[in-house]
Amino acid sequence: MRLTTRMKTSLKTGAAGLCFVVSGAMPALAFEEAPTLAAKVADGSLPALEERLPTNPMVMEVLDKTGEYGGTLRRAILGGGDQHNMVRLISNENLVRWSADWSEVKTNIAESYEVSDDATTFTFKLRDGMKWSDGAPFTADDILFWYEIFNDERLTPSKHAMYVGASGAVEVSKIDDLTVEFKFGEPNGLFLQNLAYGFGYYTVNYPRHYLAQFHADHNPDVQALVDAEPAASDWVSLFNLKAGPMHTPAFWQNADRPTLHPWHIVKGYGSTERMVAERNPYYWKVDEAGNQLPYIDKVAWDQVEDVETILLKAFNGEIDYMARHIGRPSNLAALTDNKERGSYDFYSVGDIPSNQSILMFNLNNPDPIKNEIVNTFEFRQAVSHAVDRQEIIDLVYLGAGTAAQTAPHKSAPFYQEKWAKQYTEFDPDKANALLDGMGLDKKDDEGFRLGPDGERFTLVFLVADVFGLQFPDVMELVAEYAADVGLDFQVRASDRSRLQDLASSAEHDAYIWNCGGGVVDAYTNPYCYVPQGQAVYWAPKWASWGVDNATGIEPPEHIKALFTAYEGVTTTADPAKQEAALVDLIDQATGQLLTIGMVQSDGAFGIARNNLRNFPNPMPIAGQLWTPAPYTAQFFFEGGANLP
Amino acid sequence: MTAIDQPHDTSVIMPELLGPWALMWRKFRRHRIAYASLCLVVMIYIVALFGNFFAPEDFTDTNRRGIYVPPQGIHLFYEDKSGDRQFGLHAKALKMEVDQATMRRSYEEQSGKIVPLGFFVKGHSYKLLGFWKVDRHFFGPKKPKDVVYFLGSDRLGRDILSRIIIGTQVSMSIGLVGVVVSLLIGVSLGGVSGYYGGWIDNVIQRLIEFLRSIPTIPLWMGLAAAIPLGWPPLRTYFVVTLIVSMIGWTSLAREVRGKFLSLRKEDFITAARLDGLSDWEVIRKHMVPSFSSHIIASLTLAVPLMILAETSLSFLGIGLQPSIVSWGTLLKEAQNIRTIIEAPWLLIAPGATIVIAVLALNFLGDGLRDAADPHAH
Repeated sequence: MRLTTRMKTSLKTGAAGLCFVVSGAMPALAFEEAPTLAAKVADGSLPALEERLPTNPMVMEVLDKTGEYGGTLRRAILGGGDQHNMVRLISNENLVRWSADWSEVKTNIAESYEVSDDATTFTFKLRDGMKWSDGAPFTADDILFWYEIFNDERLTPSKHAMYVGASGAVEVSKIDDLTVEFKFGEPNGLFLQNLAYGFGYYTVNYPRHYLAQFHADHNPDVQALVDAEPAASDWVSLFNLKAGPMHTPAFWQNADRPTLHPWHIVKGYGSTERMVAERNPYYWKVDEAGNQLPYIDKVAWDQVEDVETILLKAFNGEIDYMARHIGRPSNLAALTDNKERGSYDFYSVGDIPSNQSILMFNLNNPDPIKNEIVNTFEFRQAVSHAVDRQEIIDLVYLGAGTAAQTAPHKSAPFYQEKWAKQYTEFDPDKANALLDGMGLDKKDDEGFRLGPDGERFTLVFLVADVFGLQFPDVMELVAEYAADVGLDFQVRASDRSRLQDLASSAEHDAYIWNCGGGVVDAYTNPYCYVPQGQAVYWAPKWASWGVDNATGIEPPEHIKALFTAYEGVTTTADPAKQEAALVDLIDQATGQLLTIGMVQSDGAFGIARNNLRNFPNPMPIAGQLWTPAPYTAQFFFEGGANLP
Repeated sequence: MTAIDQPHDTSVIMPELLGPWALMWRKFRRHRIAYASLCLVVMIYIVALFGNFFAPEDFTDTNRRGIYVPPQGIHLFYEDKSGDRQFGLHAKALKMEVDQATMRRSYEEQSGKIVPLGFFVKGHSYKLLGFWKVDRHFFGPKKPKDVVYFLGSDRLGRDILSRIIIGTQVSMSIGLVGVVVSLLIGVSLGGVSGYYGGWIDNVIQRLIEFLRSIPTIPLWMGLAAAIPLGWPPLRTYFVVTLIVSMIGWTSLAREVRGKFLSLRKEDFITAARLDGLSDWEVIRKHMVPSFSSHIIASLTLAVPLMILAETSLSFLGIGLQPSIVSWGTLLKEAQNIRTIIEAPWLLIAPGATIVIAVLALNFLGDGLRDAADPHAH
């Protein structure tokens, strides 16, 4: 093997690398492969390992120790929309990745990268000889093919925000077969971070040699394929069927699509009771000893009806590694009881949102009277003081968590106690005084406050029972606290998607939900500090104004100041300036008490069978951080097989 | 008709003549299980009517010192401070312990500490029948500050017994309205259709076919979107129940029509008509009673279905959902592994209540059917 130079960037959180650092040259290695693959090479059905690996395979640092081949990683999956069960486990392989502790951006598919000083141009160098899971070469043309799809209005009606700057979408160009350049019209200091997060997947999941056949511009005979596919009416729908985005079920229903992931699915999601993903023989990572990854032969998901079945499977030792669906405080006692029977143990999951249950008043309420009241700072302050957060924690969350506002968690590098703790004291008298002071001092004979129009002032809260966060229970308690200070909060429970429909069109009064941005993801995911992003349920109209000033509702000055503050984060590549701007943003936002946070989680947990090794513990995870991938490839079973 | 055969001699002592209702009642009282069931159903409705009087605790009161308390027994004898055995209804006082690793709560009886219980005790205040403010309760701890969970408590420390009692109000009222509406529409439209036949029959049958062909899920989704969010959940549920029953009468109507078709050619119907009774009187007095047994049976079978269906539309936001307490929501909350492992009483208590109520209604219906059926011996 040639001596190569690997580039390692000295990126601390929020930073973009500005210079090359040459790390120590790697010693030449003899590569090893899994016995199952060696057998295939021996009978001639697979090329030799050296031909399958890139000339410069990525050397993955193992988290604990060098592993051994074998075993099946068994999980359970729900029907319908549970594709993140696979996305987060096996497919988060982007040009760059986050380190296992979520502190710095490292190279991944890209062998090296370069960022211009003004943070407008990002150049990635690919690995020579790297191949898709079907053996076809992966080159700059594949990224350019994605770029073509991305720019095609027919195929990409709305572009993902991370690839769009203020002056328009990114421009991608091919320098040579192994070099690609991404160029923005203005500084985009967060692009590298975003590319390491989940949605960076777009760029490297469009195999040109396979997908071009479904594209009319590339295949004049596409109509024959359309006719052969009963589910497609024209080539656009055929293409969308075959080239579905990875975070949607469509991707997982097409088992033929080549990937760069450590395992590729054999049968599509939903088509079988047991989904299996098999080892990708062309996977481009090796461990430090030269063994081709992944260590584990197969990943299998049993499709089950509900979360309860997953729990039962865990008790019986039929789940090898899982936090999704079952890692909730309410299941802790039952899972602890069955630890020995199921031969598993716990690992901690750093699932730390800015707050896990947040009262979000719709600050763009279509009803002018309600709108004026909820937009009054004293009203939100009064509600915040009326709520007994500690009782919610003790009752609903069994004592786990901290009373806090929507603010960065104490493990975040830019944590400030003031942000998290202000207005959190339980003080109904203060709440009553604040409400009386606002002019809501008249009450009806049931003791509820009257609005300025003389009618009882009522807010309807929407609530869905999701994430195991027991929102209906929380709201029931909150409604009682509110009644104690004379506020009529009605609670309406419903299905998640229906509530989100209502909320994203700003037809609701209020909502209870959680919100990201508790740790480092506050840089790229600040949607509870500034009305920006897809899920701003507390001010949907301001958010659409932020995207396009011709739509939505023009926000008042103190909200516009938040937009300005966040521009300070995105338009620079200097980590120090980014952090200063972010601190300024959060300081302004938390000071306005835009949303009322109640409980900050201190993390969740997952279970791993006793002989599973090399899994991150604690494992950071967030809405955008799709872990445990890409570290799953170096998981292994001690002894090379599942425990009985 | 028996009277016509009697000679017009008033000196003869005639046996007391019983009307059909009195005959039914006499027959019904002989059916012991049915009679007991009737008493039980009446009791259930009394409990529902005076719910808060019978509930020892406020059913919404949460208690962070009382999460998942197992059912507490009622004891008769205790030792007082001087060590003498005393008689007095009481429960044992509990002490909560938390296992820090699993966050599990366990409860131990505190020796020597008791919670005295009594009848007509003071407790939380409520409005009796919605009018009078009272704070007396049928049975419970003598000190208003004490809490006793006779059937255990749930994850938020709420008293299950009180919740079951309050849940009776919804489960035994609104759900049954739907059953009654279905019955009224089904019997009248089915009766008209079968009695008159001809074009009316044709129109009604085509209407039934049309209603049956409406797919229900999209209909409910439309309803969910049409009902304003501001409505209280109970009103939403009531309206949905009404609408569902408006399309749920079709199968009963078909059965009634079939029965009428076969009955209208019978001699006693012809005789009644010749006696000058109007169509409506013929239907009401002669035809409906002759198959009341069938109606009663289908009615009682519909009740348990209705209770279990309370929560089935919750996913669209138009079924019953927590914060509203009913037997259906109580059962639904208990349907998970955590409950079965840690707090089985959450499943057993409402489950047993539903079984008892449904059995009582079924036996009652059984007895009524036997009593009403003129052919039964």
